[in-house]
Amino acid sequence: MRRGTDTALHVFVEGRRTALFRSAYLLCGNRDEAEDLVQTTLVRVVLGARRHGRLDNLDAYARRTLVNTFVSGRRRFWRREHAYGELPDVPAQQADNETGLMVRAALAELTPKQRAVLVLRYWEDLSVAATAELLGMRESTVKSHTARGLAALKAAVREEHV
Amino acid sequence: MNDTEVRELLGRAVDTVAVPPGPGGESVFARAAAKRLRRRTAVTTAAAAVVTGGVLLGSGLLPSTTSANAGGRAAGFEKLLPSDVGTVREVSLGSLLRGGGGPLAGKNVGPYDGEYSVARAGGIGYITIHVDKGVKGVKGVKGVKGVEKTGTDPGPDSCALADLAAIADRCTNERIPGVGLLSIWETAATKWAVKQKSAGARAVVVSGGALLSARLRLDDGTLLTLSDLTGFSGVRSQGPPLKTYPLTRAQLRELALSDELLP
Repeated sequence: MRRGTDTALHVFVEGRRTALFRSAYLLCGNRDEAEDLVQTTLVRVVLGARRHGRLDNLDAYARRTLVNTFVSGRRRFWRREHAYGELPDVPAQQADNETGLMVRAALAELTPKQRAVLVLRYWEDLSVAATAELLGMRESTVKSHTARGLAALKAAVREEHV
Repeated sequence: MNDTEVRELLGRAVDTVAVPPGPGGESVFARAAAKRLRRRTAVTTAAAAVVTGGVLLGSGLLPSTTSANAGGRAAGFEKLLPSDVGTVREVSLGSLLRGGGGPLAGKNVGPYDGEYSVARAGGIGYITIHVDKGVKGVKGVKGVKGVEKTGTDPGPDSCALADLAAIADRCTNERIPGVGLLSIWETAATKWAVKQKSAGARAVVVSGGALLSARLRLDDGTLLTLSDLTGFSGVRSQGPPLKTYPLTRAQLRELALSDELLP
């Protein structure tokens, strides 16, 4: 029983690490921080899955843990929000990289919850209701966070094309 | 900007970043194992500290951290109970049941208002006492108010309150001449639960044991409410529930009618 659980968890960890890292990167805007967030999330998922003995819907469990860990980490009083300042991994000469930097800078301007809403709604493709349920907020709040986030993204894209 | 365009933008933000090779899945399991070990060590240490503390307190080597007033109140309250009731301590049942917050009822009015645990035969039950002064109407279990005013009229029948009728069994009213109206009823364990405050989005519901309640409504509008609970299960449970109520129905009636509980 325990061996079967562990095998399934190993498969999940290996299979989902990349996808979780991409979501985490959009949330944190920083590679190292995103890596830490994914690692912490996966440790919690492994411990939680073993404790509760449940393996159904690990994806949703991991997504919830990732976002909650990110939001609660940002809430800590000793944590300072840093403006996006990471150097791109490859020379930023292509248009795509420019856009990527702009988008990351725009995301960094948002509050953690607004960022989480955008990532869940548009990257993870969750509905308004599912996002609200996952973040423990009302649907109207999700909609207002979405509107603000989109406005920031639009402004970033406009600036790029000016 | 439609949904696909937004997703594409987010994709551009993340596509240029290579996923770090990272320490791999094994490190996740290693960290999980280390964390579990730390938790177990912490629990064992805490349990050892509780046992050591209990031994030291029991031997009188350490002073109890309970305030003199609270300790005195529990000792005074215990004297009002039958001698074989068990060990009585003052507790915060509100914190235990809900995971935070103050007492279940409002501020203390009567000399023994509070929440007490009763330990006996390996189980833990609870008794709560609360006095309300000058109540204009009858409070139901969910704060629903009755219709009649106080005064010489002892008020409406507690058993007839709509919200109480749904959860109360064997509800009886007794008119005590010169005192007021005493109502006693039982609530089965399956008919009530408390939602705990939780750290995450998921709320934890605590299942309670059987509950025996008494409400004495005095002619001057004072309302004395007593709860006699077998215990509860859940994260903050102090022990298994008692098999019987801490006080029998007759003992609860006697306690409700003792003058010492009133201010």
